[in-house]
Amino acid sequence: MPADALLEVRGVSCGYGETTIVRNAELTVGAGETLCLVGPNGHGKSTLLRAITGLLPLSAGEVRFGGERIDGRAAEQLTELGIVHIPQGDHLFPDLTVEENLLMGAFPKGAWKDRGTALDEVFARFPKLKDRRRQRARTLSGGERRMVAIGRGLMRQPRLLVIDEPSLGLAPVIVESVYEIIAGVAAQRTTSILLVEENFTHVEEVADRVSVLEMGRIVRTGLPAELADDAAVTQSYLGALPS
Amino acid sequence: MTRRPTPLQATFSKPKVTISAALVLLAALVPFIYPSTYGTGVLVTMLIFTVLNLSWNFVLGIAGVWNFGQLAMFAVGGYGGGLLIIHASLPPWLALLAGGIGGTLLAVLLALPTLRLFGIYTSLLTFAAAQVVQLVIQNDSSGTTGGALGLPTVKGLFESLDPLWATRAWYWLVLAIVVVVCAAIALLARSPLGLALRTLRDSAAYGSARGIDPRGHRVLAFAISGFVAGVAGALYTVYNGSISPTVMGLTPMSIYVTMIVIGGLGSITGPIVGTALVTAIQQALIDHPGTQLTVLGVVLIAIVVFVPRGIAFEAGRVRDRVVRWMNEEEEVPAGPASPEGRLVAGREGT
Amino acid sequence: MSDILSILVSTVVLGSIYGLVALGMTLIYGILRVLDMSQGSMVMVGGFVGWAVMTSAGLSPWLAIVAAFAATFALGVLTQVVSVQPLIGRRGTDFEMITFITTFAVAMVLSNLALQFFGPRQKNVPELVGGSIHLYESVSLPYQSIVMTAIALALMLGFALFLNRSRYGIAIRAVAQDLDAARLMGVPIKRVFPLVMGFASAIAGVAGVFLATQYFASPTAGDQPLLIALIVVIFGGLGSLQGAIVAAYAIGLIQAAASVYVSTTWALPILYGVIVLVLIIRPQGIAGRSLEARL
Ligand SMILES: Nc1ncnc2c1ncn2[C@@H]1O[C@H](COP(=O)(O)OP(=O)(O)OP(=O)(O)O)[C@@H](O)[C@H]1O
Ligand SMILES: [Mg+2]
Repeated sequence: MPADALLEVRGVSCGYGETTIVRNAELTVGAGETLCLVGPNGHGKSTLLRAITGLLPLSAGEVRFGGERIDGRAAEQLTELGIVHIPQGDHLFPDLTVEENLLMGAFPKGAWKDRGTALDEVFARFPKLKDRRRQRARTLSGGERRMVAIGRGLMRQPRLLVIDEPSLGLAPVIVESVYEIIAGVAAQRTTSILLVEENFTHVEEVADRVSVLEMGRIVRTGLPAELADDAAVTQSYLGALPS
Repeated sequence: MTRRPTPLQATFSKPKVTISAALVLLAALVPFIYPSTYGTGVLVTMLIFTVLNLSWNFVLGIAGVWNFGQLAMFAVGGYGGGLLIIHASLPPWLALLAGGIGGTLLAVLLALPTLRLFGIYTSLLTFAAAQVVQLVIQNDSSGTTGGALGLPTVKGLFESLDPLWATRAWYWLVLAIVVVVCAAIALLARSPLGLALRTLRDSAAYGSARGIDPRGHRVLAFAISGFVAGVAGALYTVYNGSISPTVMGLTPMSIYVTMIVIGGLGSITGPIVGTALVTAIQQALIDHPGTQLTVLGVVLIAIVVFVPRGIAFEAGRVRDRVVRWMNEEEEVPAGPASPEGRLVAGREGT
Repeated sequence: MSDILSILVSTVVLGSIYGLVALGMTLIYGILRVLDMSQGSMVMVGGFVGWAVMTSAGLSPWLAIVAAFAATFALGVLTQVVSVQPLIGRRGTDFEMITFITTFAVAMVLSNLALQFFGPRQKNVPELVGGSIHLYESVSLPYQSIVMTAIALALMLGFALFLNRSRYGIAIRAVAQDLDAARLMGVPIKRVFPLVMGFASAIAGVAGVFLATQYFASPTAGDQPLLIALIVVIFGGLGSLQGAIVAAYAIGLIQAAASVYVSTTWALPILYGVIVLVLIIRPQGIAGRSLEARL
């Protein structure tokens, strides 16, 4: 466990309405560390992320960021602390143009000043988006949407980058380039990353540590190599994959 | 994309005929409990508005068509009936029917341009149309409608009776009409037509896929509701002996919408309860006429925000709780929740 | 010739005023999915503020415009907080229909309060500026019309720029499209919704001052503008800013032409006929997207 924890999740439970989805979840992301959250479909990974970034209220437990309690604060307040959440399914603004979508990533006051440079950087990473900057997001292809979603997340300097299944529904080539970018961010060691990924190959590529979420509980945390050897994980999680 | 409301009591259980009959009997006795011409007159007006609100609720709550032009049908029924009495010497009884026919015709005319519209666009168009009908009546310079001053002195019904008994006769007449309209709507709502309308309201796509013609049904719903509204309008003219353009417009519409919504959109008891409640509020504030609409507006917002399903529904829940509580007292074993089930449990208890 | 000229002059004036009212309406619908029936009342309140500042207090018309803007801004915010905010995200109700009714109730309360405070009598409000330019034969163009049109155009243009270029403008549009994503970007949604309704009401309030100088201030002064704004937004396609502005001038033109060639009385019924035709041909208005495209 890293000594200087940036994000600490302690005993968190949350859910929708009457149903509790995540129970007593514990995880820690160190400064500059990349933690990967894996687990079967529908077991509450996205739900936990939504609770951490303030989209969903907790029913129990606490979340600390840089030592400070942040549970109970709304998502729109957490952005100011440098938390960026790239949600599952992109959630672009369908009727805004590509450029406007990206600009929204720089909405917080501090980031808005440097939006020009940030935009150039994103366009340098995804040259294709530059050609499509005036196109409405709803008319983009799935791959282009993912680029916009990731680009939008990188429009400011996050201290914690939360990414939910960035490879979902993409062709292998594009997945490769998405992971190159994530690996690039991870390698700088200035941004902590909390990543949900189903494909264990990519998990091993970028993760420092891995947590397994099953039935709403964190059942194991360890190094990627350890988990890959763990029979229980292989059965419950990897075994579920079509091979 | 828009979620449809699923008003309560949208599925009509078997009407409890005995309870309803008892209530009607009680209502019929009210003029004796309350022997004043003025008071009975207020009740007559309330019942006429109940007819209007029942018709409106049929298209708005049961068919789910956002028609905010119902007052046009009411006005056309009222003016049509009045003009026929004046110019064609039609007996008032027939004028009621004529008003209904006038309302039907206008309703069909109004339904046609809304056929391709959805949700809020329908309400815009119908609302605008009603405003235009009002303007046409008001700006008519040929002397047919009497313009802003209204259409005066139409010969009324029950003129041979003394005022108190005439008002009582009116009360019973309109009460009978309310009963007939309620029964008709209850039957309609349970008929295949009503089922089709509610299906289209809750899921237009599903309804059409199952072969329900959305346009034909919408026109039909408008026509039925327009007929009743037209009858209500003619009743209004004949009862008051006159009608003026002020029966329409934003203010009256606000009052009727308040009545329907606070009672409970989409149910039969809703408009009845709502109309009675709003009339009571208006009467309570009779010495401060200026505050009536302000109070009603505040009540309307409060009800929508805090009692979203309407007074009638909440009252029904309270009644159910009381019934359950009474059953417990009698130590009747808790039966299944369905009405049939409860009936069986009751038999076992006796 | 003079007919055509006077039609053009009224088109520009009417279109500008209608444009202001309809702009707010379409903005609120586009962002909040609320058809705000209290916009007519904002016009009415704006008229009374104009009367209070100019006639009662005898102060400058510019001050009246600013005061009307401020007062109706506050009222718009209040309306949102009371009658729209509590209904957001409520299950089992049709948000559009129910807010149509609650904002309608607000309109009811406001008109009635105005009636209580100011009485039913129409109140005269002086012109913003006097004088006119003589154009042709009996047609002249009052300075007042020029000033009103200029302010209206400036407000409309300002809003278009605000929404398309500024940080908050883009955020406002984003909120309408994906609430959760907007929150993740840091958009303070609790503030955005009331702000939108405040601004939209404020421009209606300014239109109210203009209308009051053309006609009167009275408790029912907002009824007809509300009706016309409804027609304009149907015509332009709900939620479309450009559509609303284009439609406002088109409606102004139809109304002006009908008044000159037929009669003022029949201008609105004729307008209505045109709208019915438009809706039969294009159910989503001239610039509105079809429902399927919005899904
Ligand atoms: N808005 C919601 N309301 C009610 N239930 C929800 C909602 N969102 C998700 N759920 C339920 O919560 C459970 C967990 O969902 P979640 O999206 O967190 O799963 P996940 O682990 O991210 O799955 P996946 O790998 O498929 O993305 C699921 O059973 C889902 O149906
Ligand atoms: Mg997920």
